[in-house]
Amino acid sequence: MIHEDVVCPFCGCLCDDIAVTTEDNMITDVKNGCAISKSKFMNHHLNLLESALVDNMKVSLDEAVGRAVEILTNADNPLIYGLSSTECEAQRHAIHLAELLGATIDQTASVCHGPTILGTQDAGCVKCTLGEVKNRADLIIYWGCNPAEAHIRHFRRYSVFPEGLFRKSKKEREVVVVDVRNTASARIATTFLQIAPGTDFETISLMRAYLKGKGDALPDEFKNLVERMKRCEFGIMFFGLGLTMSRGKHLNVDAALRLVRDLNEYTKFSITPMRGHYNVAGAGSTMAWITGYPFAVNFSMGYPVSNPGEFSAVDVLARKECDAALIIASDPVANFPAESWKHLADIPTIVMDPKVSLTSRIAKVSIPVATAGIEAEGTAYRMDGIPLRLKKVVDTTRLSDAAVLSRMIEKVRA
Amino acid sequence: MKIVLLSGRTTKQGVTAEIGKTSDDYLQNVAVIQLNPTLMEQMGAKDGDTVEVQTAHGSAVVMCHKSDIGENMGFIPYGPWANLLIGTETQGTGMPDSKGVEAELKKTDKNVESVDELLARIVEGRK
Amino acid sequence: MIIKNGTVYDPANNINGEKVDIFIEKGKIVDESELRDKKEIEASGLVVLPGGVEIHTHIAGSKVNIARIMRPEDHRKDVVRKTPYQRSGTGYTVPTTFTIGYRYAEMGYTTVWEAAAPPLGARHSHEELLDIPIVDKGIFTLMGSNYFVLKYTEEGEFEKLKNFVAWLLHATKGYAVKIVNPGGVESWKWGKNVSSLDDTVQNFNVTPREILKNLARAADELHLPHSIHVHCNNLGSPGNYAITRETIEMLSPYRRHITHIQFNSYAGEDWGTFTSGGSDIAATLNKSKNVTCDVGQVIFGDATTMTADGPWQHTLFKLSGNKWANSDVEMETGAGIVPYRFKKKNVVNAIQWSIGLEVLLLTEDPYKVFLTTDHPNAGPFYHYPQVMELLMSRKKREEMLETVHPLVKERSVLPSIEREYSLSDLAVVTRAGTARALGMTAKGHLGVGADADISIYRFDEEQIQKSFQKAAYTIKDGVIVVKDGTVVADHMGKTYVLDVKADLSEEERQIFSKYYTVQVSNYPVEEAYLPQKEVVTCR
Repeated sequence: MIHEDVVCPFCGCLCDDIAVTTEDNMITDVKNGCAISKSKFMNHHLNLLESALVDNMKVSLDEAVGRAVEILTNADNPLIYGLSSTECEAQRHAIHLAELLGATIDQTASVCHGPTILGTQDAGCVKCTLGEVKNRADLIIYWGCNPAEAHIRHFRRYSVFPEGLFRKSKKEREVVVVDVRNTASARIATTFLQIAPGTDFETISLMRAYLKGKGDALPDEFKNLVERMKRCEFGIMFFGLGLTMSRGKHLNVDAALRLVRDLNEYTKFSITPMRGHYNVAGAGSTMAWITGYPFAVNFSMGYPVSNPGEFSAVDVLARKECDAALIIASDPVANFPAESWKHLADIPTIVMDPKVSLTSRIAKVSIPVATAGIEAEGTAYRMDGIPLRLKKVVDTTRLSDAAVLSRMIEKVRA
Repeated sequence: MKIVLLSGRTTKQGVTAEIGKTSDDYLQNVAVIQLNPTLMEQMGAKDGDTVEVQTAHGSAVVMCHKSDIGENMGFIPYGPWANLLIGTETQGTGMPDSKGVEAELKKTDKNVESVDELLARIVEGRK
Repeated sequence: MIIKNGTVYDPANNINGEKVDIFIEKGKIVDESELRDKKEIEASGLVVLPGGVEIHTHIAGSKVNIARIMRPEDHRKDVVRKTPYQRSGTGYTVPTTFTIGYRYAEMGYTTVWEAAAPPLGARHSHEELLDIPIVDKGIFTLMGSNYFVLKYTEEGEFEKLKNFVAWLLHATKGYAVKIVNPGGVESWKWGKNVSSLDDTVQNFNVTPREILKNLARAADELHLPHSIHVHCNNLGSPGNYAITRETIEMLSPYRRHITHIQFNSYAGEDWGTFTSGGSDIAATLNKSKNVTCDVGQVIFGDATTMTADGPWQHTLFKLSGNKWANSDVEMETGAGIVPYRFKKKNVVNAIQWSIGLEVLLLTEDPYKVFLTTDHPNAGPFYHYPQVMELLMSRKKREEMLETVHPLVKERSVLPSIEREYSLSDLAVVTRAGTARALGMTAKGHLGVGADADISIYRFDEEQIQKSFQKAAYTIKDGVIVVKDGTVVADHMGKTYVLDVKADLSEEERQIFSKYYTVQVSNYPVEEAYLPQKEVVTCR
């Protein structure tokens, strides 16, 4: 059986044209997807968490959920973390659970585009959906990101190559890549501009000064770039973790947001972050509509309070402030600084994941779940905020994240 | 050898993480550092040799590969090895300094730790 | 359930302050003979009204949520604790979803409409509606700069346009055709705008006048329960009352609803000569048929402006210097968001405040003009009781006029208006009138067959604002959801959708797959987002 127009649950591109062939409830072929997408669909059944575990002993799902709830309700300051690789329905339940527990809840944006959110809170953000880029952009800038390896179909579907309403091919678009290293993406660019690591803020700020007639110190190739940005009909800047993870962080993003904002005095210019996990935008969305804040939220007062740096997971763990943790669809042991994640080994940690992860290896309780977007339906938000319906292409006896979390909520309320 | 450490995604890292984080494929693709050939020559390292990377926050042994990256830089794909080398300070943002950390590089005879060894080293004695 | 001995105002059924008992069974208002559950609410001395029906608010979806994300400083001022019946949240100008439901219900409102859903983001709007408790709800679908609407208007293909409108309402699970700055939002995608009904849209040989007429005709011919819902061109600009008047007049005889008309009732040539056009607009409303409007009354204090009118939001960013978000949506629409503060001593703000009241008071037929604040554009919805007091009390208006910029007395006729709203008038502009304009036959009245959505107040004419801030009881679907201004039940309302059905042609599918970035099969909002729906027949 061929499932057409399946949404890929890997990266923020959320490609929705994947054709997945299944035979006897096994995926046998994947068309249209990138290499990572294919790997995700074809290998989703490998290295699974075979059973619910407590202290590495096999237990029933009910027992594991019961133990998890006991741990969480007995904790003074539990942490719930992850969310970006599961469906919105699960995210909404996770937030509800955090509220009931008086917990801290954070999602993976905090180590990804959290600084982008901080920049937006300061400067606003002039953005557009990816179809606007395909249909209109004649100048496309990728800054501090490497879609050729991280968002593999971005060029082909959304920006450089597709036929759009007003731009018919790559010939009608100028592509600029700015990075600290010569990446695979730089090879697609019409112009590659290399900068030294840690100089994004200076460069962008000088560009903005030059736009306002004051940036003499700006290198010529960037002066030239600013001129082209002013002259284009529709410009777009995509940016990645090159801005958010390096020195300056939210200030780098803030500078970029302000540069793009100011360009709208001259022409139409937008900016869009290259969101990583397929539903990290959804995690920010659900948290915002339920709590007002997209990440780093604490419920200990009985109402939501947000403070990145205080309630963000890396900090909470590094300061050893939480005494239990529930990790949903994420692997902080692989993704956090070692000095931060090792606290997870000192406290009772509960992991909900389809697969064995490094975090599940150190967890007290492991709960196997269905893979969202392959074995479970739900909503996911693309990097530009467009919501799509994840599909279920194979059956499983495992419960979805949402179903497991809803059981936990029932038990906490009982 | 002093370098500035960069981290990021690679296609192989993405593909193999989807096989499984404990798979050998994953280890082969994230316990690596991409270096400039000139730098490797200066260190006397060949493609596939192991190097020890040391920062203010920790150290990791990874396999080195040639790439056309700048001479003063090294690139490690996101993963547990890259995260041995970065600190927890977020300057109030929630985001650690994951890119642009200063590191010291030297050739080593040590082997790349397996996932189990890495976990055991960090977790050991903590429970 | 019986609501006994209350003083009932049910203008749709010509009940004006009479002592009438109301009988409720299975969520509906019934005849006494059908009553089974004899539980009583003793309402003597209390005022009983149909539940409030909000015709225009921004509570769910992409732009609202961008505003939430962008404004942490807003939320921290106004926190909402969890209770056994209530989820926690934050409030102030862009409240969280649960808080929105509770605050409307506490005020006695039981039906609310999200007034601007981008079609491609409709799934998001519906997902947020799932987290808005108590009230019935639904969305209006943005169409005024949609590619297919522009294309068919340009080509003179009305039947294709009509079919597309039906399909889009079906696909987005929308209830009405929303038009924002027709054509201007498309032009904004190139940084431009339109400024008259006869300007042409960038790259399309189409004018706002043609877009409006075609969509108005389509809405009428499809027998949609609500007319087109129009945010006029030139919103926010001095002198724009002229284009508003022209829009109302040229759309005759089609039905049309002009939204937040206060923002489009400005006379004067520039900010220096800014003056009220409210009385002129009210005169136009008085002599026109098939027209309704809501006011978008200014509330002094903090607001968050958000509209699909991208070019206006850019102007407002430049005027205010506040942070600015813009969000353009491929093939369809756009949005802009800018925080704003209305100040009593700012002459323009003060005149804006007077205009909403002028239109509400000078429009003779209360079934033509409704109370809104275009939440949160002119202020948060939970300040409605403040406006109710000003409408019902000339004395309160005079007191207020003493505190605002003195030029209001020269540039607005508000000081000379003697009219004071009766409770019946108030029930029309917040309930009976909005329900009728929306074509919601079971809402806005208390006759047999109506939904048992009822609000009961301890009315004190010396303290009108306080009287309406917190209902003594709010009853939704026959359930007491609010008592003494506090939520006492965990209740979920329904989402309203239409029974329209239409398909895209093969040609339309091809255009779609070329120029959208999602597959056409993944575009329509699935039933999963409508666990409790009410389907309204178009006839």
